[in-house]
Amino acid sequence: MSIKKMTTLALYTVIALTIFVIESALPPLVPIPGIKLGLANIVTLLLLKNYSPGETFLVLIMRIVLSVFFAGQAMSLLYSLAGGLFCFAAMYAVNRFLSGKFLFVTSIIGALFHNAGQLLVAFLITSTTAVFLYAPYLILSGTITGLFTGLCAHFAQKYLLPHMKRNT
Amino acid sequence: MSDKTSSSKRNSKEYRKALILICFVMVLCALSVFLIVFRRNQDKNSYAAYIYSDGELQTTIDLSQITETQDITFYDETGGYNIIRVSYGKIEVIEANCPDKVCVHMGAIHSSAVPIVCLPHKLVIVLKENGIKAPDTITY
Repeated sequence: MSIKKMTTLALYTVIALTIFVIESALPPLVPIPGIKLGLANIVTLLLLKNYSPGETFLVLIMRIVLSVFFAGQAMSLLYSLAGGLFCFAAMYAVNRFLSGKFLFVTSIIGALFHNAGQLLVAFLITSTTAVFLYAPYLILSGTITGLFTGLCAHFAQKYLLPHMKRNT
Repeated sequence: MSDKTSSSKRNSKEYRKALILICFVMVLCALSVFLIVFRRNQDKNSYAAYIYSDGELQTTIDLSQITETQDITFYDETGGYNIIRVSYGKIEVIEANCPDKVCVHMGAIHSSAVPIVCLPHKLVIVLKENGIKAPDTITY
């Protein structure tokens, strides 16, 4: 990996981390736990489209591990990791399936799988099936927030990335 | 020209694949809305009343099974009484010979939030939800 690539990826990690920290400082939109916009996913989406899956994975893992130091408890690492890995796997598959087009669809599927991964961890930790009663709410919210972050990524791709590419 | 590009975009393979995925997501959404509404209706008034006298459970009444309003009188050892009115989904004390009448002034309760307590007669009426309960914020 060249120095230039490493620096670029570090820059993306910082962007994702900043978005994540700012978002976690915002008050929750709805009183149901586990529902948030997931704006840091914008960076993952952009990387998935413009860089290789391995590099995306690297940035994602770095962001999750670092975010625990900045804004979370040790327990949330497990949730974030499970959600992040599920999300990445699903988004990678969908992105390949759609050959990089329709980023917002990729984002929606990613958000749904992110929620599914977190529910699974919650189930494994508490070992109560009652956590799956949350699934309908999480599917609805995941679709909406996934669409939102997907559109953010779409417009970032369209208007921001050309400038970033030119300068790097 | 622009018409041609948009039509070719519309007929592209990715467009159809994306449509399939969107349909899949929409079906999931519809299903979850249905589940939420279904559960809402099921949960309504599904409470059982637990009546304790001097700390001992006297009777339980499933408030979702009550079709007609009925009155039940409870006596304690010292001759005090409370007349309890049970209706569909709610329960109240309508009359008592205790000095303060806190239980009567409390009115009817519909949820497990606050119990009815008559301290002079050591009578407690608690509502508890029937069936499974979703985890609260703390357990999550």
